[in-house]
Amino acid sequence: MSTRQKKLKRGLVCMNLFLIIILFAFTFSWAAGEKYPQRNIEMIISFPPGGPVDLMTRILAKYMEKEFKVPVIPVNKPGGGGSLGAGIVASSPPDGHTLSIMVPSSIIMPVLRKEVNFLIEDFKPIGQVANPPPVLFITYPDSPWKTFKDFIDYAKKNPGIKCGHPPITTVNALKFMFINKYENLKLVGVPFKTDPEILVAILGKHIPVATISSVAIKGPVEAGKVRVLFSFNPISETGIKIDPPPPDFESFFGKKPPFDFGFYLWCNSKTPNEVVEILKRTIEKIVKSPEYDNDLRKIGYSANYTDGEIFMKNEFPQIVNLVREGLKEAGLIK
Amino acid sequence: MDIFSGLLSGFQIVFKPENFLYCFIGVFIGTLIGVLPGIGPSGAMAMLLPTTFGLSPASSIIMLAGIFYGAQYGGSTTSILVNIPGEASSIVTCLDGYQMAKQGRAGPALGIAAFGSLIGGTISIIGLMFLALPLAEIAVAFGPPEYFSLISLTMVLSIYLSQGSLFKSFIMIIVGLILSTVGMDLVSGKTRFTFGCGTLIDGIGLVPVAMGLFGVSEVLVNLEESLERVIFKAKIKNLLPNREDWKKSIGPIARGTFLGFPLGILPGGGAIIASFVSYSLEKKISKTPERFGNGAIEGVAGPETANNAAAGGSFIPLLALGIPPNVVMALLMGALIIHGITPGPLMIQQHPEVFWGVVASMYIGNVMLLLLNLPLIGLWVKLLKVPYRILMPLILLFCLIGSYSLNNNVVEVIIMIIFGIAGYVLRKLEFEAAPLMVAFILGPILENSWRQSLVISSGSFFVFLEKPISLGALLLAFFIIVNALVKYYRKKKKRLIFE
Repeated sequence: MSTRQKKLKRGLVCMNLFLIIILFAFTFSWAAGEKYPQRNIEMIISFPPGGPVDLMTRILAKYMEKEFKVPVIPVNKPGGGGSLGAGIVASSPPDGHTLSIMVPSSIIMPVLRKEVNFLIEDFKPIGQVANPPPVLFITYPDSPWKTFKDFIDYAKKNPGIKCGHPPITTVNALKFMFINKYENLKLVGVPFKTDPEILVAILGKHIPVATISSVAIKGPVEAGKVRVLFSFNPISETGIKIDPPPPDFESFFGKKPPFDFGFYLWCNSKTPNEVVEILKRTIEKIVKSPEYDNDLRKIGYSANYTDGEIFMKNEFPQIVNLVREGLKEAGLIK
Repeated sequence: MDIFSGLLSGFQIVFKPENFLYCFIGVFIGTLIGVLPGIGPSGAMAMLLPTTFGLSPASSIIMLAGIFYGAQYGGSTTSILVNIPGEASSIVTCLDGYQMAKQGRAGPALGIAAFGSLIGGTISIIGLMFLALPLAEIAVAFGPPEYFSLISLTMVLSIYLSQGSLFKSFIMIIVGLILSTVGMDLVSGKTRFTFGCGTLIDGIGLVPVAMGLFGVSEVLVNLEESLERVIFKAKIKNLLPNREDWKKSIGPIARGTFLGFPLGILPGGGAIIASFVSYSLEKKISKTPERFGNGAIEGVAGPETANNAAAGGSFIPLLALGIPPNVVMALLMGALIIHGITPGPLMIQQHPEVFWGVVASMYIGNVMLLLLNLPLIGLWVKLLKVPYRILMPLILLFCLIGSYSLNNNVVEVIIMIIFGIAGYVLRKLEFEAAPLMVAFILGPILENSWRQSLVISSGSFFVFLEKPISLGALLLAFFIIVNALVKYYRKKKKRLIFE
């Protein structure tokens, strides 16, 4: 055999070895594909640190870490009013390692406003992880309105009462808009950037009434600095004790709130079904555990599980219509 | 419980070994992140929040609060050494602090910043103890009309910040205001000037702009210098402020304290406003205002004291009313809530150990910070001896990493680079960045409070004159403008006569 042939042969052997290794690697990853998770799980938080979604994600991540036995890393990606984080989930590799807790409107709103290059179809809900953000309707303690009925009667006779609310594109502001429209209250909205600013405006009597998240005002309510006239969700869900309890939407208007949805855990819609199933089983187990609910109650929220598929079938289309209606009402889409 | 027994019990809590340790860890981490530009206290606190779940409420709040005021200490370091504000409230410190460093006086600048911070911080804790409840009521008196007038006053004051031509600084203010309109409009919810870029929906980030205008442009300007030239003179006179420095600084420190503390109580950028107002005040009352911008130690002492005093003040709305006045306080509120403590008017009675523990820890923490920072001054000053060809790329690298790590967003890096180039061009044309920065920071508050006021008053402009605080601020602003015009006119007249 000439040296040239020897070299060729050695080259061939090397190549074969290389092929075998690649083949092995393939079968290995094939087998591992059944297993989830394969690496760290990233939880995208579409808001800056410190907010309710941030705290909620960190709590869920703590429980997921225990179940999956891999690091579950919360990553803050604020921007675009929450749409930046949603975009990251939409464009992530569809293997279930990039997840995010979002309310459905965070996905629907930017899509309807044509501000983003993802579609509603790019997302799949794994399941609900928390009840809707509890929202209260408040006034200052020595205001003339003792009950919500007093206020509504007054407001109908005296149009143009100023009512503080969070930025127009948030769920809480949409709640205000709907109640204002359907009950024909003719309130004039005063938008504030954050809940603390709304609270200052109420405490200083700069505005008479406001819509505000219950989480922001637990302390002032308990100290009697703020009077709660109305609670969109049952007051028991907020963790605030008020005697007598203020009316909630269902008890006051005798119907289900038209605009209400909880927090869901979402993944990329192309994620394989086996992975989604594993996630579903684990998330259901966590959300239904009393410890998780207890932790959520500490930050003013409460746990509630609904299967993602059932939610998509039964409630989601209606929510899309409501968000569209709300955006039209605000003059943001045609 | 009266104040002294409360404070005594607070010290008992802090001197437990584990709390003492957490206090030290807090201020140490705070100093580190204050020195590193980009990573702010809110980011660090969020990352450490889960680790505090297992601690007692008092320990975890002591540590998290330590990060916050520790970062206020550290924030001035990069402003002075390399002209990059580590924190928004240290932007003014760049103006004179960096000039001092260039003249080989980085040591006294760092020293006076540390001592000023200690004094401002400590006095504001005393204020926090005695005045928490009555002062909280004042914070609530500030509604949209009051904010509008206060911000107008600050803007007028900030014109005094400018060194050069009044006309040029007006232009910079207008540019700053225009830049601040980018993003989602609060009232209508429509997006303005975003050009389809998602990041811009929330407006242009403050820190990338500041890093670009101050830090990157500095690097670019230095590129023009030849390699041999050493700007930071090797001969460093002394590390600590001398008697002359102290004599000049004691007034600014006193005024900074009493200015910063009440301004810190106001929700929304209290510490930033305090530092700007302090600087313009010092310049206004100085007998030699031309020294400002060329390394006047008063220009470091005043603002650095004011922002630390404001940091103490900003605890008041949270602890007394349950209102977090800034992002960091919102995080602290989250931490309290997780531990089952509701911040608000009842907190001091329900959880005295947390309130007094935190107050006492702040006394200890401030002293720890001084002990931690004084020996470091020598080290920081040595850093300036690093050759330019190494230091400048390092600064650029820090800016790049810092602007990315803010929100893990590449677009913010691009924004920083754009503003770096813009800052370079502005410098060449002798436009100053400071008025632009003031207008850019205060623009959104000005616009929102203006529109909120008019919605509340159903469109009547008298709303700004009916409220006493608002009327007072507007009158003061008016007086300053008239005063400036009269002075300008006299100067011109004098010059005409002279000619």
